[in-house]
Amino acid sequence: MTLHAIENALELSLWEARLPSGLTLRVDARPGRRTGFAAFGVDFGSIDRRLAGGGEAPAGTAHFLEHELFEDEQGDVSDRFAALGASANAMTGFVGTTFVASTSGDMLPAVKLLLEFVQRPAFEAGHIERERDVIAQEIAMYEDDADWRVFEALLRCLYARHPVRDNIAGTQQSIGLIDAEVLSRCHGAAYRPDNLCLAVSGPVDPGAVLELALHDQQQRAPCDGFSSLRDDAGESAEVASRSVSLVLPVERPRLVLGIKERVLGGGPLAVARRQLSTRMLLDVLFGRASAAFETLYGEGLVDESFSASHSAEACFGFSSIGGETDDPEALDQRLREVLKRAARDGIDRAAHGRIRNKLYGTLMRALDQPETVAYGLVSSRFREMPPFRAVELVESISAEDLMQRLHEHMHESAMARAIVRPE
Amino acid sequence: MERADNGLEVHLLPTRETRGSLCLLSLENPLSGDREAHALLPDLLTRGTAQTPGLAEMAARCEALFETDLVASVTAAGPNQLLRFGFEVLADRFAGGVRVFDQAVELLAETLHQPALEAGRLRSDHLLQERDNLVRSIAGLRDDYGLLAWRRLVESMHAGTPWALHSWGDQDSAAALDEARVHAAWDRARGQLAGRLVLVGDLSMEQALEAAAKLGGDSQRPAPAAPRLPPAVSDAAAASGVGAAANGAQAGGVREGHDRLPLRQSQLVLGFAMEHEAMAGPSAALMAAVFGGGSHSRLFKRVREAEGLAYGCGGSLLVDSATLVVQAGIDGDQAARVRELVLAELSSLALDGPRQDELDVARRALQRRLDAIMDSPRELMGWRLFALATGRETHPERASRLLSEVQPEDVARAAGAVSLHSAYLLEGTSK
Repeated sequence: MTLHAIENALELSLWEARLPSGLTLRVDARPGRRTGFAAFGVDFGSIDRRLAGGGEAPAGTAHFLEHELFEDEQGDVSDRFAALGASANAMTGFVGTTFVASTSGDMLPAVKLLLEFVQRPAFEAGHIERERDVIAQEIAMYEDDADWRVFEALLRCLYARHPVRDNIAGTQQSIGLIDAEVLSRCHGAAYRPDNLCLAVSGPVDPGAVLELALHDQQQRAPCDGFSSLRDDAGESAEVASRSVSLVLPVERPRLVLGIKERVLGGGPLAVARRQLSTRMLLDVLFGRASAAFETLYGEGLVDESFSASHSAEACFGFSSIGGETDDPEALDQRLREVLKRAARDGIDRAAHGRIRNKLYGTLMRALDQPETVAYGLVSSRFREMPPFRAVELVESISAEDLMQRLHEHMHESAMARAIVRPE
Repeated sequence: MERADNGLEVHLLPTRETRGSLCLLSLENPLSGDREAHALLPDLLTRGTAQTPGLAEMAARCEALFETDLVASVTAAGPNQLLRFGFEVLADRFAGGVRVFDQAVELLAETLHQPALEAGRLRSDHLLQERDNLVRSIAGLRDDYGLLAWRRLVESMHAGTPWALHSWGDQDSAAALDEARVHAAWDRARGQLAGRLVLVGDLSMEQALEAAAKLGGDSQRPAPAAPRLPPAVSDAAAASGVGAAANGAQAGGVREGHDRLPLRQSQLVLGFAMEHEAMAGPSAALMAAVFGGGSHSRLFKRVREAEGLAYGCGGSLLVDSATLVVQAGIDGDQAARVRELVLAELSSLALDGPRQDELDVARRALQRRLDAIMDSPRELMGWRLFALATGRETHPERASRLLSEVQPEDVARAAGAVSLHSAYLLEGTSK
C-alpha cells in the first residue's frame, strides 16, 4: 500500500491513498511548520434524512450526531485532545460533517484519536438528554440571529419539500424526536470507511500517516458499496413561495433575493462548472468592481454587508444576493433590473480577465493556511473532483459561458425574496 | 524595529514561507478625541483616489493585482482608537513578473494622501454616503445581541473613561459629522498621528523603509504613546459619578444592569476587575484559560457539559483594560444559577489553585496558540501590533518561555485578585 502524489501547479506536496477499507487519505506535508490541521469528513449532512431500512430521520439528526460523537465510553473526547495539546471541533453542513483537530508538535496522536472517536460511537441515554439541552440553546442562539433567520426564510421560500429547507440543527421540536436508535442507525449507515475522507495538513511524514490509518482501518469492517441517504423528496423546479417577511427586534432591515437552481445533476464536472461560472457571473454583476454595486452603494441602498453567492450541489443549488438595506422593496426591484438588463444587453466582458487573476491570487494566498488545504482536500473528495482546480476551470469558462449561465439560471420564475423588518 | 525618517516605527518580519505579503499601517488616535471623524476615514479614503476616483475602479484595480486585499478598519486598544490601513497581496514571485507589492504600496499611498477632492475639499457625495453608512453601522451593532450585552457591561465597568468608548463612536455625533471635522481628521492621519508599520513577506528592510516613506508622508510623526491601563474601576466610577442610581441596583458592591428584549435567548455577562500588576506576565492569561478559555475550561465543563445550561460559556481576558469578562447565552430563568456556578468555580480556583492536569492542558492550549501565531504571518502581525499597543511581550518565543515558568500558585493568586465588578443580563422574553 503506497501513497501517490497528487499533481498540482501550486507548489503543494500532496499525497493520496485509497485504503483497502475504502477510506480516502490525503496528506499535505509541510515540514517547516509548528502547527497542523487534520479534517476527517463524512459525506453525510443535514439533508441526508432517509433512514436505511425505511423511514425518515428528524431534522437536525446529522448535527446531533456530530455533537454526540464527542462523548464516548471514556468520556469527553475533547479532554483527550486537550491532553495532547490539541483542540477538536466539528461542523455540520447541508451535505457533510467534518471533524477537525488543530495540533502543535507531533500530529500523529491527535490524528489517531480523530480516527478513533468518529468511527467508534457510544450513545448513552443520559448524555443524549444533556446534549439535547445544549443543542436547544444553540438553536435559540441562531433564532436570535437576523442574518441566519433571513437566510433560513429564503430557503423555505425556494424549497417546498427538499430537506435543504430545514435548519441544519433542526428545531426545538425535531431534536426531541432524536434518540439513541436514530443516531445509531444513521452512524451505521453513513460513517463507513468508503464514505469518509481523512485530510492532514502540517508537519507530518505522509508515510507515517498512511501507516497509522492502515492500522486503524484494520479494526473496521470492510464495506461494499455505500447507499446514499439523500432524497430530494420530490422537489419540483418551482419555488415554494415568492416572498416572505419577518418582523424581528433589529435596527436594520435586510433583504435576500434568492434564485433556485433548476439544472441539477450532470456529474461532478458539471456541478463544479455550474458553481464556478455562477460565482463568476455574480461577481461580474454584483461584485465590488461592478457598475451595479457602485450605483447601489452610491444611492445608499446597499452597504458593506452586501454580498452575492452561489451554492451548487448535485441535488440542489441556489444563489443568494442581498444584505442590510433601509429599503428592501427598492433593493429587490433594482437587483432584478440588473439581472434583466444583463440578459438583454450582455455582461462586462473586461471583468472576465480580472476575475481570473482574482481567483488565482485568492486561492494562492489561502493555501498558506493548512485549514483551507485540509477542508479543500475533504470537500473535493466528496465532490469527486481533483483538489484546487478552480484556476484551471476558470480558464475554460468563457464570457459566452457566463451569458449562457445567466439565461439558464437567472429566471424570474425561479426567484424568491426574504425580508426582515424591524419591529 | 527601525524608525523611518518621518517617525513611523517600522517592523519587518522577512519570510519566504508564504505565498503572500502583508503591509499594515496602524495609526493611534485618542478615543477621547473626535473618534467619529477618524472612524469615517478608512471607508471614505478607500472610496477612491485622485487617479482612481470610483469605487468600482478601485475594486477593479485590486482585482487586476491578483485581488490585492485592501485593509481599512477601525478598532481600539486601551484608550486609543487604531486606524488601520494596509493590504495583503500575492508575493511577487508568484505573479509572473508583476511587481505586485510596489504597486500595492502606490495604491495605498494614493488612498492616504491623494483622495478624491473637489476644490480642495473631500468629495461631499462620498462624505455624506460614508457618514450615513457609519451611522447605520453604529446602529447595527445593536443587532448582535451577544455584542450588545458585552458593550453594556464594558460601558458600565469603565464609565467615564476612554475604555468605555466604542471605536466607531457615538451615533448622534457621527450623524453630525461635516467636512471640516473629517478634513481635520484626515490631516491628522496623514501626518500627525503616531503610527507603526508592520510588514511580512519576502521583503527587505529597504523596501519596508521605502513603503514607510510613501505611506507615512513627509511630516514628522510622534512616537507611539506608552501603553496605559484604565484607572482602578472603583476610582473611575467615583470620578464619573456613575453608581447605583445610573446603573440600576447595586447588590453587594456589584454594579447590576438588566434589559429585556423579545429574544429567544438571554445573555448573561459578568465583568471582573483584575489587578493591573497581573497584566504584565502570563499568569492572568493562564488563569483565564483554566477558568473559561475553551472546551477544557472549568466554565465549559460545569455550565455546559455538567448542567447543560448553555451552548457556550467562556471567559475572556482583556489585557488592555485589566478586565475578565464571562459571557453565556442561557435561558433567562437560569441566570442566577449560572452566576452562582461561575463565582463558585472562580472561588475554588483562588482557594485551591488549579489541578496539575488542568494547568498542563491550559498551558498547552496557550502554547499551541503561540505556535500558530509563529506559523502565520497574518496572525503574527496582528499579535505583535496588539502587543506593542498594550506593552506586552512582542516575541512569541519569549512569551512561550514565560508561559512555561508559571506555577499553580501564580494562577491561584491571579484568581484571588479578581473581583466581580459588574453584571449585566439581557433577558430574552420570547419563548
